[in-house]
Amino acid sequence: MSTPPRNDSDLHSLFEDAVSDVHPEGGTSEIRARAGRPSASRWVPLTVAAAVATAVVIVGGAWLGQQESGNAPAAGSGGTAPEPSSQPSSEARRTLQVPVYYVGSTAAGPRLFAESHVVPNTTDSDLQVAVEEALRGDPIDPDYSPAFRNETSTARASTDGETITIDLSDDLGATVDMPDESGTAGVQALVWTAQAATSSQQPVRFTIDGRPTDRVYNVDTSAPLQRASADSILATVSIATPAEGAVVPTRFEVSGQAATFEANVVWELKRGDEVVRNGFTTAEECCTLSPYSFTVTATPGDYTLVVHDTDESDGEGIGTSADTKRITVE
Amino acid sequence: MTSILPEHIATPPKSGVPIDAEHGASDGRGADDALEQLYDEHYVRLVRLAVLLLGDAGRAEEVVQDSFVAVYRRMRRPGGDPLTNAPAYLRQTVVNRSRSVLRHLKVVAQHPTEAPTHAAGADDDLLHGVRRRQVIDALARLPRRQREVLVLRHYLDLSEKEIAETLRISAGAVKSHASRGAAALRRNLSQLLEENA
Repeated sequence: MSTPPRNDSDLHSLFEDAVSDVHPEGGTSEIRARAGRPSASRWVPLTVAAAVATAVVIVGGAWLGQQESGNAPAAGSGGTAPEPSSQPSSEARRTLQVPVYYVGSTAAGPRLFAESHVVPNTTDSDLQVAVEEALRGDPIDPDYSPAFRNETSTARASTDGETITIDLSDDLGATVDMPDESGTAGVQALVWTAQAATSSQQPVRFTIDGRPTDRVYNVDTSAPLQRASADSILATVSIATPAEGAVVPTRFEVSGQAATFEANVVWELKRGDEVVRNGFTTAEECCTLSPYSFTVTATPGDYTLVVHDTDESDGEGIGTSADTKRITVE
Repeated sequence: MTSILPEHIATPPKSGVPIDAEHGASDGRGADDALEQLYDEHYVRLVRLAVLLLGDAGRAEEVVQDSFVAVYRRMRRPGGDPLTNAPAYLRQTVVNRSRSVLRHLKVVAQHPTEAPTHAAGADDDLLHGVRRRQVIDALARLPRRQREVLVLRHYLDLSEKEIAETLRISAGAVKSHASRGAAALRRNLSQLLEENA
């Protein structure tokens, strides 16, 4: 742990002083009591509120290109690395990079966005780690939600090489009245995540506490599920590069995937609310997810890059879907 | 044990309660002990961190409590996470959840029938003092990444590497956000900093 440079020690004092009179009141008994209660009822309304409220949202998608071209996504390419401070264990602990699909709101309803997550110090399989992250992990992008927003539920994921099984704990759906399309997106987030983690298209069987189940939320799970088509479930516009928080040169390329009307892709580079650059391009194909790219030139500074589709509804329709990245130009 | 805090700030750990693999999950008592220790060492500081990120003491404590609940559930789950990196996990969860709260407030603010962005009242009593408020307001005006990097750097005293891991951005980005953020904050707070000098 390094010490801040001497000339910034005044900032440390400033921050210390600014919050020195904050005295929290909650204790561990409250934490323990709350841990025994389902949390979904509290979070789900937030997710739903966001879904109906936003015209322009969303992010993500670094994995989409790889996923769509059928290559093994993160599971393989991210690889494993030895954990320097690994605990004594009969099994070697690894740090995994896994692809995870989360749910975000778009003009077309809840859609899936991909993120790459690094999970340190685990002995579990790629499949288990990825499904667990999809169900209970924290998305890097705040616009996304885990599959079901229920932290009390757990999942064990395994495969026999032909079928993936995801066994959920039975508190999963008990307390949640979820809109149909959110339930579908949540289930598909787990299916897409599980298939990506195994670099396969094995169907996914859902069980609850080891027993077969006909439904998970509103989704028929009486037979193993295949993933829904990319065009029906993935976000219609996504930026693959640059990544959220990236530092880029004054001339940089933006790439991603879009499925838009007449393949139109529109972009803005914003500083605060001010649009400092804008333009448009077309994706390779119309109306199905296909690659786009364009080049932007900008002076050094912090920006928000917005890529979106066009609103063909004359103000009457569903509005546009967008992906945003906060980037720094140097 | 990984500490979220630098040695000169962290409370000395209670003896015999390491947060490591032995204290996972299936051992309920172990999870309770580990929770107590995590609480003693990190709770207040993380709430204060969240105040710097959110500018609201009530919401800050809610975010930190949610994060502790999530960690505790993980620790006591049968066959669940040993959470060898609980402090780092907590730190990351607090930052992520603070971000979600801000994002949600923004959505709510676009809808006039909903609540205002800041809950006034009792929470503000905790943040009295013009000088203190100035610092928090100046932080709130920074771009999100700069704010996150600055408070992790100068309040938690994390290294660039630790900040990069927490925010899942590159070390170069940390450096860039830190210098831009510090410069902007200094501009906004020049008078206050001169008084302190």
